[in-house]
Amino acid sequence: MRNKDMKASPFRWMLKRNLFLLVAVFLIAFAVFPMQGMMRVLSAAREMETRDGQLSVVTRQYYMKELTLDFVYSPLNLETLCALFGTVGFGAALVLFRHLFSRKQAMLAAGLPITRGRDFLLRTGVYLLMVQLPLAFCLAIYPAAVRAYGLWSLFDPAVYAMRAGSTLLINLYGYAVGALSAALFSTVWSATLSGAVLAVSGEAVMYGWIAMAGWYLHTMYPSGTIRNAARFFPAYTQYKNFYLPERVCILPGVLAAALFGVLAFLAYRRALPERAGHALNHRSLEPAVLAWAVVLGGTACAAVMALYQGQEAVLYIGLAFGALLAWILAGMLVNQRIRPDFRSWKAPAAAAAAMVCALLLLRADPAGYETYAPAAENLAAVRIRRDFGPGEIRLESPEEIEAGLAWMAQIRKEGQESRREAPFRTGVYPDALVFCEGKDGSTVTRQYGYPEDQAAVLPALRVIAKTRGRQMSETLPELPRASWYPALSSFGIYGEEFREAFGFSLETGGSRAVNAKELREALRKDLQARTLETLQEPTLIRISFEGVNPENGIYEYSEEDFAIKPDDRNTLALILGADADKWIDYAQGGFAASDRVAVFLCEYEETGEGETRLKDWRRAESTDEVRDWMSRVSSGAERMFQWPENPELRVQVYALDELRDSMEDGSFDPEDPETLARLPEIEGVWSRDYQVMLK
Amino acid sequence: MLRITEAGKSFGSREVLHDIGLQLEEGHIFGLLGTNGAGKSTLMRMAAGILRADRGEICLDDRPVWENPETKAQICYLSDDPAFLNAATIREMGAFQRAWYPTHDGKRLSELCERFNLPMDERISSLSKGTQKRVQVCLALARRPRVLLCDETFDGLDPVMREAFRRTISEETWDRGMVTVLAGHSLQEMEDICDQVGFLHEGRLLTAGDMDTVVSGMIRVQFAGREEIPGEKLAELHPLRVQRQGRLCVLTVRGERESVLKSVQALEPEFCETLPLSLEEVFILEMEEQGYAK
Repeated sequence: MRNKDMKASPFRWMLKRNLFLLVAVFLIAFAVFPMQGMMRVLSAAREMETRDGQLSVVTRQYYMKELTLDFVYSPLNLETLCALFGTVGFGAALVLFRHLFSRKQAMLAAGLPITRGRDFLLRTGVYLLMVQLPLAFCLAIYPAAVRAYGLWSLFDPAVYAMRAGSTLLINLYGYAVGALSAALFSTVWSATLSGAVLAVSGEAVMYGWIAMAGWYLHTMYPSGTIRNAARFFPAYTQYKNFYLPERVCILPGVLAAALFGVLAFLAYRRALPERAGHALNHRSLEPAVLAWAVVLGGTACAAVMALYQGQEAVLYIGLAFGALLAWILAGMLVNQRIRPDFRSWKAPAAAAAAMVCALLLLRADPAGYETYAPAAENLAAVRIRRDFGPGEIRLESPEEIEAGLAWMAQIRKEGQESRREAPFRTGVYPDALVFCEGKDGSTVTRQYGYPEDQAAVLPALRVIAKTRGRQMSETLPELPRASWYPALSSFGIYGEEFREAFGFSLETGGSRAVNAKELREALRKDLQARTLETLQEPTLIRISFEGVNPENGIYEYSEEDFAIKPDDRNTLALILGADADKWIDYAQGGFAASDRVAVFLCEYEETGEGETRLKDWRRAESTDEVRDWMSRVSSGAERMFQWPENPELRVQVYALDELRDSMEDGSFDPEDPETLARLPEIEGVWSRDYQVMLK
Repeated sequence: MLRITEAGKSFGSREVLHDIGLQLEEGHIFGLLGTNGAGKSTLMRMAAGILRADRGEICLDDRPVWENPETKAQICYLSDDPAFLNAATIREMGAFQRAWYPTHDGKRLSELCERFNLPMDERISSLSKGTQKRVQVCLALARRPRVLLCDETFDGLDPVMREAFRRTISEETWDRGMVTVLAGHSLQEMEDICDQVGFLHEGRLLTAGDMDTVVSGMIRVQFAGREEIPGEKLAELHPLRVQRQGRLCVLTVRGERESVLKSVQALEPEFCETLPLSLEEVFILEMEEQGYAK
């Protein structure tokens, strides 16, 4: 009798058989997304109700971010979410391919009337319905709730869709890795272990090798070799995508999921049921597994040992030791025996030899990446700027190009010196960027850490500073409004003191109205006349421009504030009038004339643990002495052109009455420098909070 | 119907089956006999499409079995260690078969379970090993396969059940024109039920054919000479086994009965007679000739 029950298809049976997956995934996803999300929705809805639906721009922006991006990702930590849903996908794959871990079940499945390829697709279909669907459903409940509560205007569906897609993608990636692991490794433990290795070992090896290569690989722009290379690893890009929702981050995830999916499909078609219960499904995989274990173990051991020891010899010892250890351990795991098996040595030995060669090559830098600098005559321009900062300086004339290259050579030299001190860094803070534009259209780019000894390239800096002033004057924003605020917070003085000195109230604003156009003209003249010495003066005030740009009709802000120096006479005269000289004198040490303050010159020294300690101090005896001190310390303004002549010296200002009280209660002992260091200095009262608007 | 052509299989560097050639027709029960590790299970798994033949071809009705759902659906392999879905009952296994095998007959399964006293709703894993084997056979028969491959299936069953299953399988084979292959070590049982037989040793199929042909391919002849017959004379008969007691000789020889008797008559014995050989004896002699356990 032929079975006529059309409902009894293998797919339906498989769905029914794995129904528990749907329940489990739904419970996990529901607990994470709708439940967390609803808290935010309710809070936003209450706020809307309280304010009668009228939200300020700032509040609106806050809720826009809160409801679209932070509703769950913020409290739960993005890495945790990626790990959670990646693992859910991985676990689902192990569940759906669990028959591969038991010889009997593998034989039973292999005897079913279905091709291996179709069987794989069937199980993947079950995964999509039982895992991806409930996950997508839970992700969709949240926007529905946002809409139901009338908060749709505070929600950006495109951004949310990107994040939701990333969650689904990391889950899919986990499934693909899990399916491949199950097809290649025929026990639960070996599949789990290999899954973790397949998913993240590439990144781990890359990080290790970049650390082992030394400093110079970090000079690759943008963001160093680590981030560039990491883009190819989906486990990295997927969770980074939550932070930076760039489409470019989605692509590696899609490609990796597809790659692992195809590999899993092919591996499943060739999986041997008779090998179920063995660590490896194919014996032929053993050399590759051992070789990769050697690479992983060698890299991890060498990188860790070198980072702690900082010696090159340790690097190679660590490499050899880690490789040997990993080979023995991996061999024991693969053969499921306590006794190590030394027979398979060729592939691991080849891997170890390749590693040593690669390391020698990498550290020798045969391509000369570290020392390469284009010839000045071949360059059309050199651009230098701080990473993440505005104010790029473009150096075009031969003199300027020479200056740019000299500056680059100096910061590279400092980088190389620092490499000798710490040869195995994990990164360099990418502060200074140099772009060398060739006449042939090519660009050589490097990023370096902050230069310390810029005095060594004083002539170059003079040229760069001058160019910077000229370029700033040419690119002043043509915006209709300007605002300024005092920038002397590093010379902290009481507000009352300041009012008495200048008749200027921070609460009521400035007394002089200046036209933004006139200010721009005055500033332009000052910028064109700037020299390195100007830039090294303390900043008195800062100016910014804003307003509707007549060219495009958009309300804009100037990219950076303009630091006004004592030499910027035209600007200061326009803003401060006759008070300009008093301000300049005050900033340059005149504040010490007050009978309410005590000014100290403090000398610090570095302790052996990388910290500084107050070694000695001296109280100023006259205002002129303070003026002299002030000329010798850094104002902490634009670091590219400013550096402390003596970084161990600081001018510290204290309230006299507080100092007396401290002496009485014994917390300040003039004989003990440490007690001074513990006293609170006068806090700056000129801060951005008290901006004074100019017309 | 089921044709195996020059099939070979290796596990790693170890070759477990060499150039197996066999043709099985419907309505026959084929006994696959072999020593331990001869490759019987591997051969049957290959025939069921569970394992891939590294060399050669296995076809059902001239269509390959490997990766062919249509032919695989018609073949049922019963392992010596029964495999069921985890925590499944017979009813659930029935649902599983209904989903995967269009020929599955639920009514037949109920009948068989009732006949062999099997509980439909109890977890199979909680049943005894013998009962699990009964479940396995009932599920297989309910599938109504065209090819039934039984790998030591009856081992562990009590004599009554063995007999009942043997009878049922025989009926199914003859009535439906099924091909049944039985592998096992109970040679007496094989001789009773099988009409075709093959010997497998160290991955090689030594002989295969009708039971009568295989069994009658060897003959045991007992005779007494007028005086003691020299060993050289007996050796000319190429005996597989020689037993002597004075003038009385018992030789086991490969060959046709008439030609063997003719050769013995040339020795001018006082009397001469042939004795029947059982399948077990033929198998043991074959294996001894291969040097097995000597």
